[in-house]
Amino acid sequence: MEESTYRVQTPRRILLVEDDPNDIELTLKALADHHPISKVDVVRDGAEALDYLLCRGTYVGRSTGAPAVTLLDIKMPKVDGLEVLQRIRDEPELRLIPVVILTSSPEDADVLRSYELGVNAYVVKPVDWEHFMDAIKGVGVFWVDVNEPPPTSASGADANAV
Amino acid sequence: MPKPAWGDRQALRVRGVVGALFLIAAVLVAISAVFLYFVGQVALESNRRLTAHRAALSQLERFLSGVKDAETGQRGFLLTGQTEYLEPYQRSRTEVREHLAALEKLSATHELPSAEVAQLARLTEEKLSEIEQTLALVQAGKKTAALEVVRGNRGRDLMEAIRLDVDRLEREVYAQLEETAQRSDRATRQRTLTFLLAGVLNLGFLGWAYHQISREVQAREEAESQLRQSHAQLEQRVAERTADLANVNRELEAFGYSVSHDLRAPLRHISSFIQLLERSSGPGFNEEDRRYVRVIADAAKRMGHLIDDLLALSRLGRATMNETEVSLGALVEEARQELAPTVAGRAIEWEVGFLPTVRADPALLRSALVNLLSNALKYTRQRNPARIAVGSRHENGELVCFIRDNGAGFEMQFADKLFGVFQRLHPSEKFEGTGIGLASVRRIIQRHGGKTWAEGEPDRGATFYFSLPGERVMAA
Repeated sequence: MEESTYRVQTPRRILLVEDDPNDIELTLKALADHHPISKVDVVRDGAEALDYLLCRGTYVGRSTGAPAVTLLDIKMPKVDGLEVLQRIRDEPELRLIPVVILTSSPEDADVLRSYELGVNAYVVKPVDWEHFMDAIKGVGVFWVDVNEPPPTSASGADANAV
Repeated sequence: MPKPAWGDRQALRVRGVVGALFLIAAVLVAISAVFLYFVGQVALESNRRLTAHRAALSQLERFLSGVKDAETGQRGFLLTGQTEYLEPYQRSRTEVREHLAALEKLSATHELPSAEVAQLARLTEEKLSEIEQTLALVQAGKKTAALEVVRGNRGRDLMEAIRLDVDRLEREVYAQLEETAQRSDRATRQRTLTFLLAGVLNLGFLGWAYHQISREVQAREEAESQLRQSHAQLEQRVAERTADLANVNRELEAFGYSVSHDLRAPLRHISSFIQLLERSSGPGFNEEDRRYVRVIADAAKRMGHLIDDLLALSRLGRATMNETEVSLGALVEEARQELAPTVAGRAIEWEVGFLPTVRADPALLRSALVNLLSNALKYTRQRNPARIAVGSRHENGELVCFIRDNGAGFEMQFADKLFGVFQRLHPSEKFEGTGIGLASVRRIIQRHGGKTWAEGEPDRGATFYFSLPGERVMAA
């Protein structure tokens, strides 16, 4: 029996949490190679990220469900990436969603802390464009196409298509 | 204004003063001793004199009493005519003569005036002969004639004269006794005074000397305590400076880290967007434009390497050292294996000497050795064969290790710059690299308590040295 027949196919989205407009542009360009832009949602800081994920604030009524993967920068104003990660893991509804840290910092302390908080992957943004593009594309392909996200409990989300 | 320290001149002066004081005190003691000796002699003399005086007085008294007894005997015999009264007379006569003899002896020692004593003797003999005369007359039965003699008062006059003489002599002796007593008193007073004076003066001098000494001892103690204090202050300042230096080091490293960290994002933007530009407008560019784009892209790439190296170097300074026993020989072997892929196809002669086991951080030391060996391999690329020697020796309680190569070498006048951050002595077209390798080596060896230095000659190869403190070398 193939699992796919028994699963409702929901369009998988990516949530990009990034404050630097240049990095947003570069990341979207890299992702666009394999996925249409419309499948990527961008939020500019940690507070907005939590609003999005918890469907509150300006995102009340969002019905697109949990993203297949959340790409999270660490250095952000207001709520920084690691704090967002912690809040995500603290929320019962968000506890299992895939989160990938996407950052300039290769600092051991940050890597350790991220894994301790339960991140799924830690990617250091390469300086070189080619490498950057390969890395981002690889992340997108893996988490959106290859990986199986945790099953969602909210029945309402399944019903909607993009 | 701090008190002058315990200097040589001061010490000499104090020694002089104290010495002089003690000398004076000693002289005083000597003088008083001599003086007291003489006073003592005078006292002895006085005592002797007093004894002689008393002897003289006693003799005079007994002499007189003797003479009186003789007279009494004579009187008795005259009155009674009984021979029993003759006996006391005879006895007295002997005694009187004995006393006289004693008195004469005393006059020989100048105790009594000899003229007077002689006169006394004469008178006494006359008296005695007078008495004998009367006695003889009585014994002859001529009592009346005897009484006539007595009535003639000669006997009474003689007695009177004798008494006067004796009296005079006694007064003389008393006078002398008085004088002797006074002299003795004076001597005693002088002795007391001498004691007091000498004592007081000595006490004074000794007290003064003590005061001088104690003052200088106090000055020395103060100087010592000041020295100790300033020493402690110095120590504290050294500790503070050391802490400051450690702080500055840490801050510099933290600065290096944060700067290189924050530079990554803009660098990524430069690099990525220039490549996007090339991708989108590239086909339309002419040769020159394309070259410009390439230069920008390469520069950004190089900057990325520099930043990575800076980050790595700063991490070296901050990382905790995990020290354990590690064989340097084994580390060199590991480094060679790590570098093996980079030298595939090259002819390299290795000469690895004895390398002991040391207590160090294996990862850091391995990294340092990789840097040093990779350097040697890089700069011997032109050589066929490349010769690289690695070894160690003990020198002045330290372990000195060397890596020698027969490569491009360098000019000794630039030797200090070698280990600087980003310092390169060769153009980058000839030999690639950011120049951070040796700075890393220096930092690593520094953290192990050692030093790094190098020797070289252009085109004749180079030798790189690093030392480790002797304590780090494990026996055998």
